[in-house]
Amino acid sequence: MSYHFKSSVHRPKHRLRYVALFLIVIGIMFYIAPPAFLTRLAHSGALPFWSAGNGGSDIGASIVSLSKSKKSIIKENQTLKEQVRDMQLRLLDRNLLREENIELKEMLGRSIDEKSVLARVLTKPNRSAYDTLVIDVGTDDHISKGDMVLVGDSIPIGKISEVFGSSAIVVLFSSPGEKVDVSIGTSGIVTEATGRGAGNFAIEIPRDIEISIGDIIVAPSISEKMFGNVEELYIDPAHSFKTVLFKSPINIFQLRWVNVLTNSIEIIVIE
Amino acid sequence: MRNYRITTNTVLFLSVMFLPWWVTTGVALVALFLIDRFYEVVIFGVLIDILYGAEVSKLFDFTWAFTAFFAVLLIVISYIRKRVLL
Repeated sequence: MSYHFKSSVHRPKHRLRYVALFLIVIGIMFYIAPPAFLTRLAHSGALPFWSAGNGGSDIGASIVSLSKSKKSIIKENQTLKEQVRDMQLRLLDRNLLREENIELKEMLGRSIDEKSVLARVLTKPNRSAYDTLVIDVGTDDHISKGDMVLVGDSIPIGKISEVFGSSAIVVLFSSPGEKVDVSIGTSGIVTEATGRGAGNFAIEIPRDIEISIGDIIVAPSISEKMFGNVEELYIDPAHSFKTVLFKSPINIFQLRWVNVLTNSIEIIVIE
Repeated sequence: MRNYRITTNTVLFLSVMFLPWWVTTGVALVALFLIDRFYEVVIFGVLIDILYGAEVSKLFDFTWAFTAFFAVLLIVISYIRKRVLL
């Protein structure tokens, strides 16, 4: 009488196939229906780590500043004071103009009622290839998908893509391939800007349109939202279009705080 | 070996939380070559996608890019390990 034993030699091969099949099934499941509970759970679990990480980097920066020499600190302090004085003067002028602008718009029956929520940046865009920021406000702070994210009051940098209880994911307008409507300079030409990564944008416009370096790029809306200034122009004689390059005045890798407009519907983001 | 695996998982977790994505990918690649059947790498891919993933044009609006990438890496490197290295 003979017995046929199952060989264990081939088991790893079959196991690998089962694992591959399992991964494919899981992948398809996730693609069809992203598990919201899992995402919320992961984000609430990660928040303490990110907060601790930010705290750690703040302490690190303090230690670095402590190690600087007294002489260099005094020199830096003087330079910064001069810069602050200069900025304050410019800001005074700017604030007067802004108030006047708002008053004029109100007189003409257009009021700007913007509510914003201050948010701490938890992770920088280089954390993943998605080029996204994670901020520490969410549905608990009345944030919703599509809300605009600004630096200060007037520099738009992105929009809310995913929102959780106390955190949200921000997709940057400058992320490669992202498209956003902009208005160029005093001419007011509305066109489409394409993100090129790291705060850079490109615009393709007909060669005949007059644009010069330094022209301001704004959002085509009633309120003042500035994307940046024209930095470079590329004109190819063989083409009827020229490329306008501009950069956000903000370094997105050094961002610590942002504002989220909770009622933002003005910037048109082209999907 | 078990301690080695736990340490690698811890390093990968911290890397996902605090370091740029290319560092995480590098650590994952090394771990896949050094550790036999390092299936956990796919979980780290899921974690990256869950924590940072969004519909971006750069990745063709696909929000599970790292899960898919790490799953492919796992299959390919497991095959290479089996056929070439061992």
